[in-house]
Amino acid sequence: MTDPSPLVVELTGVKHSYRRTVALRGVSLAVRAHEVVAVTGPSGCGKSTLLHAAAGIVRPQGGTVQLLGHDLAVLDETARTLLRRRRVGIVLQFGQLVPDLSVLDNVALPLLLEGHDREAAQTAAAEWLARTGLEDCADVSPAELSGGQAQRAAVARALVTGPAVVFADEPTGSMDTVAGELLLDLLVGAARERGAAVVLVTHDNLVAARADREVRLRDGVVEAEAVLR
Amino acid sequence: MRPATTLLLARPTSAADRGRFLLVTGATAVAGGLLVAAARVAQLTIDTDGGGSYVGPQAPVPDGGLAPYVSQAGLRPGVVLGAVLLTVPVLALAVQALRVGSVARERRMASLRLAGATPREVRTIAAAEAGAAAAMGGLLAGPVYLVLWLLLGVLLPVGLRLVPTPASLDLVTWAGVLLVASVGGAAAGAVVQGRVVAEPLGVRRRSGPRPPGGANLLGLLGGLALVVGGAVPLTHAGSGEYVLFALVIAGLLFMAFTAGPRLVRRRGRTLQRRRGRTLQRRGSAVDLLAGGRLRAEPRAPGRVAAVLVVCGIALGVEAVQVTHLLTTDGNYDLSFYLTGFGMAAVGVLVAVVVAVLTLLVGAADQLLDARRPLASLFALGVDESTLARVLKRQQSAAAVPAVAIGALVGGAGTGYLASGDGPARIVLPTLAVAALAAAAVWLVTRLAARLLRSRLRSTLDPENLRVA
Repeated sequence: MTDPSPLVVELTGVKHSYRRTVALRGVSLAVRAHEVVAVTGPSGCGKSTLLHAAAGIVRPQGGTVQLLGHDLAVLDETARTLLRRRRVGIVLQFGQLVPDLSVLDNVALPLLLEGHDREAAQTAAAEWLARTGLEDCADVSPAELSGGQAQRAAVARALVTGPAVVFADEPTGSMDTVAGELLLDLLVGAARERGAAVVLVTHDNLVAARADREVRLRDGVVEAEAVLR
Repeated sequence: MRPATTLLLARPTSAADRGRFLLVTGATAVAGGLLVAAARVAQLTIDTDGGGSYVGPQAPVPDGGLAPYVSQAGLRPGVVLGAVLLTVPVLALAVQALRVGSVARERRMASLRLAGATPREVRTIAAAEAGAAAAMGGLLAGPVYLVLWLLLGVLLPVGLRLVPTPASLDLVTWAGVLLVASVGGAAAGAVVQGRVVAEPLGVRRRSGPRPPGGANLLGLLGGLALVVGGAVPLTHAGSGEYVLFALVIAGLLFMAFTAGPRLVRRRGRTLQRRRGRTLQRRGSAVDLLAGGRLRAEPRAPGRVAAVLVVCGIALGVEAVQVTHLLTTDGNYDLSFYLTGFGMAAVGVLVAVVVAVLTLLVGAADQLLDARRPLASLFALGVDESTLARVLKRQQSAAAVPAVAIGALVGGAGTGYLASGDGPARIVLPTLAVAALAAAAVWLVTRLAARLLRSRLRSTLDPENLRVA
């Protein structure tokens, strides 16, 4: 029986190079709503490029990318940004919080950019900070957070808009095992609870084990796929 | 994005942001004050014959002890032009200040893009930030004008005053300056931000379409033709000197507004890179590091060197002309001319100091951006005094030759036009002013580098080894 959930991400024959380095050699991948997919593989195999292409951060040089029903090739930079801002969450390895805003304002930022009232945005952000255990850090600067705390704040920022899909690039890469487990509990748990799909890029087998499906890349092509649960 | 969100994201929060805001505000305020003063002088209707009696259609009005350069209608445009030209290096300082902390700011803009800001919103934030600082400068232009009036009007002796008593029309000029500063500041902020493309994963430099090389060449050749066409017959002219001078000035302006800016940018960068390579070949650690910094970031030193070359040319011209005045038996009113040359020299020196300050701002920015590599050097055993010498060398290497070469060119050019004078009246004053200007700029760069010592010390903090 086929899965009735709609596709949220669909890459077909995606190719991309950085000057002479070929990162992706025609990768195809489909992710359905509610699904947690781990993209794994050794360093330099094209995992991050795949995630960036799927999220519309990078325009691939070949193939097509459908994100939430939109063909990214026909969207301009602003349209792709607005799509990400409204319906996609992104978590990168080091959090990438805005350094001169408080943690609370960082989490509220996607809502503020969307035109929400500051008080309402901060209320929503405070709820997510409480869920991530950072309620005491709301007014501090990101520079004062530990690596794990910054990642939790980044997860809160990614989820505050209620996205349909979350892309996470090595979200536990800068953390110890225990902190990484907690972060994954939070990210995957919150996404499942809200029905959001998650695409996790990782080289860590323990992280990949949390996914429903693992897609293994090697040298820019899909080497293997495995359903985990 | 709501205006409140734009303001939240545009407000200065870090030390670099606050420094940038203060510099832009200060420079805009000074430039605005100069413009209000220039407008006030331009609005004067009095006209004296230099001896205190009034001529012209207006009823005699008290001139408030103004200097003849201001009170005589024929000389007034020169003062107005001088004041307007003085705003050029000051505004260049403001533009340089907009780039302070650029690496940290670019990282911040990339973070904003990752959080969902569109490219247009990022440009709006940059424009709001620069526009607010410039608007504040425009507001302060009024008080700065009053200070100028106090210093160059009230406190100077009767007969030497350059700024007349303020009038009610100055309020209108001030409002105009405020408007132009706000709009111009916002536009400059957007342009500076527009040169980099902020993307969620970082920034990349925008490589815009280059103007056709032929247009630059045409501008250069056309300007040169006018300069040569005016300058060559000027040496033999018995009459019609004004027309020939006008040709020379027109040629220089033509070059300045056509090929000038691009040539200055390209030649300035190339020359500073070459200077960096030369320094590196000398072999000492200080020269090696200073040369490396010049090669890596030659843009700001290149621009400053261009300003200093122009300042040097002005000083060289003045030196030969003053020598000519002092050594020629003529029916000159020496005090009149020497006061004028003195005023021009002060204006040039102000431009030199502002230009060196621009260099200082650039160096401070480099310190901020290079915290990690500098802290690494310190950790490797390069002591603070060595790194301070690198700073001094880096600045003097960019500035000192520029002003000296300018003075030599200015002196030699004026000497050619006044070829009736013997070499002693040309060579000695030219060499003397070149040496003096070089020594003065060297001294100013040393003082400027000293101002950076505390920032250098904080840069070398081992904590900066953890900075990304």
